[in-house]
Amino acid sequence: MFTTGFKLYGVLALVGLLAAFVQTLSVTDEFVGIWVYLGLTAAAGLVGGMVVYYRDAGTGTLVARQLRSVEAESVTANAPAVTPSTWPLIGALGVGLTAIGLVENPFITTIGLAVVAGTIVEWMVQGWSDRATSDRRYNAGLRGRILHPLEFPVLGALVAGFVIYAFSRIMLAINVTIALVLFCVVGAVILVVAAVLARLKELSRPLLIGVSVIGVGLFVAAAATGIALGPVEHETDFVGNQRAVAMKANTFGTVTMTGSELPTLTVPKGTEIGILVVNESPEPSKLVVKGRRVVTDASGNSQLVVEEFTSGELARDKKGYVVFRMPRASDDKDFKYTYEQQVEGRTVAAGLIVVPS
Amino acid sequence: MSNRGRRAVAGAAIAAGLVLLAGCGDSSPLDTWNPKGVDAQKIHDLQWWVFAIAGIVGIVVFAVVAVAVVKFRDRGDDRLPKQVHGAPKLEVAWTIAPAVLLAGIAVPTLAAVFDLTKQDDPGFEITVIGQQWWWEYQYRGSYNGQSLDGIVTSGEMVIPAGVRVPLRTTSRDVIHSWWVPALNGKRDAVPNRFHDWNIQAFEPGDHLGWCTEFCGLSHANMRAHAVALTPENFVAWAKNQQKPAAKPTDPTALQGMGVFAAQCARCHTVKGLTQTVKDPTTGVETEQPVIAAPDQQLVSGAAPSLTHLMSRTSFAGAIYDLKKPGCTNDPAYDQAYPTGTAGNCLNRADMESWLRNAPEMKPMYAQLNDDKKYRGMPALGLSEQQIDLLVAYLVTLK
Repeated sequence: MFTTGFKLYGVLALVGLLAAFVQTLSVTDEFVGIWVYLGLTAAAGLVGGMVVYYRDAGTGTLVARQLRSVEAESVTANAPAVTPSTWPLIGALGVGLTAIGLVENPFITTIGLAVVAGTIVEWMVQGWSDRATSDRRYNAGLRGRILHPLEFPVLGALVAGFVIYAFSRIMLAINVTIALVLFCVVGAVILVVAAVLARLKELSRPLLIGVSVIGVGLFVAAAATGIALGPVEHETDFVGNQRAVAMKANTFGTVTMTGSELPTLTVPKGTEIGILVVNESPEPSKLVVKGRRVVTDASGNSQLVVEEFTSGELARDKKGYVVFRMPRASDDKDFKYTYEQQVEGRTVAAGLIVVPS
Repeated sequence: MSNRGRRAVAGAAIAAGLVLLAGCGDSSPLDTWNPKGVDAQKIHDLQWWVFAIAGIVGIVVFAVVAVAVVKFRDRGDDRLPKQVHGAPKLEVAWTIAPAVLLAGIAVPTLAAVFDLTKQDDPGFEITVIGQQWWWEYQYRGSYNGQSLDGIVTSGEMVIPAGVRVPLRTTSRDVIHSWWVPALNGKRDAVPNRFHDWNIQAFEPGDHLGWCTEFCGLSHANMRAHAVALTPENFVAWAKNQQKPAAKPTDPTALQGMGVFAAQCARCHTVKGLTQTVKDPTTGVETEQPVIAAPDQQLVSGAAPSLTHLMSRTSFAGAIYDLKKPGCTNDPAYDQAYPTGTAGNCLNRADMESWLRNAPEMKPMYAQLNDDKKYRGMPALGLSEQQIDLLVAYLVTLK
């Protein structure tokens, strides 16, 4: 009943309709996009209706019917064993996503193009293998020999990516204590279910499928819930540069800003130093480290430049991080390193950084 | 057994015997079964326990395999052994037994791992910095009232015996790993990270170590020494390390100082080194400190400080003896070590060869890279006279 062409244009029409619906919900003062999507739906629906009417302009079905009436056995034996294909549906989805992405988000277009590319390859090879012989199983084997080396790694990567992403969303949405309990319970449940299944004398296929579907369903539901809840704030008292969390484990020292003079820091030269900064002053403050570095241009001219490294502004009792590197020993009179506590750009306390030679 | 078979068995037995005999050697400074510090002792105690369990398991497995091989060997008839499909009791047993054994190993292992990473606070710490292909040690804090701030040495880490000293390992170029087997396990030195570690020696002594993470051309020539001194000698050593180098009085050494300032001070620091600088406008001559700028010369951005060269026992990444054996074997050497030894103690032959052509003594990338920087020490093209002058100056650096 549904021809290949109808599947393609039918899904394209549905995607257009869905996009128009989403656009209606998300946009209040701009309706051009909605009309474009509805136009896509109308055009694709019209073409889809026409191709059904004309049976994809193909004569194969008619010829086969006529031949079957004459010599059914021989025709069945020699006619190509074409398998039902879902690729028109998926291809239409890809085209739709590509078009929607052009309006909404380039990322959606990228996904749409990837789907279209995959569809082209899959559909092409399936079309070829379906006509290779009249033996459907042999044809399926041929198709698999070509496409499995491509499909398995891609699907594996997609599944692995999904699992990692889903786990990350779940774990970000819960705090450490809940995570410990949850994963202990989940692990125990999986162990118990596996033990019960292992004890069964006979494992039926529907049972296994049922258990797997329930497991995957719960996992997907948990991931969706995690996405909906969003990440809990694990670092509520910690601000600073983006490497803060990673560097926190490698702190060389801690500096507490109190408004009074800062202690002398002794650090090695030529290595990246991470300092944990705590603001105990009432005012929002930042720690600024003033370094020196020799920069040599393409023509070989060297110049001494002052570099500033900052923790970012920290409210009272907040922690931050400052990362810096001092290239040369501070014995050199041109390489005097200092650091200061600043409040609204004013220096309220300062200290020396000593780099031994 | 055929003659060929007998010969093979005899050959294997001789080889195994030689391997066993090799274990009897007493000159093995990297022996992991000879702990000389509290942390190494912990590792040692643990590995005995693990080796004992692993040994028993190994013997049992070999015995079971041997029984199976003999009992179920092909007897030349067509009878098949009894075919068994599932043996729940056996399967449960061989699941539970390894689990119990692994748990038995895991508990003391985890306890040891946590113990090894705990740090004491003796009032000071040492930052261990790896670079191609030598180790630098920087001290922070104080010990027995003696400030250690600003002490930088290389090749040899000096610690007071009996004190568990916190270490922080890092690197200036690639990943290295610092390991002195007699005193503790190994710790990776990773650029831009600080890994905490400890070191303690029961008694005064010199313990050999090595870089154990492949780090380039001369990885095998990147050694380390951990020298434990008595508390009194350690304080004397620290006092000496904080002094700037004295200006030599000997005319030859003074000339050598000039050569050093012109040739070596681009990378190597000697605290207190000065040179006369003439103001181009006024013509007035003043003594100005000579400051090394290894950040402009070397990929790692650092070269060993030579301020107290003669207070060490080795040089060039601790691969060459700095002193003659007659000097270091003298019982008085231990007392002389903290404040540096006299010039006649120097292993002059190796030092001169090093100054003549360092990359020949220790493989290094002697060419400038695209950033116009070296890895390691290049050949400086010094004349024999310059080498003599330099040596005369270097022996004054106590």
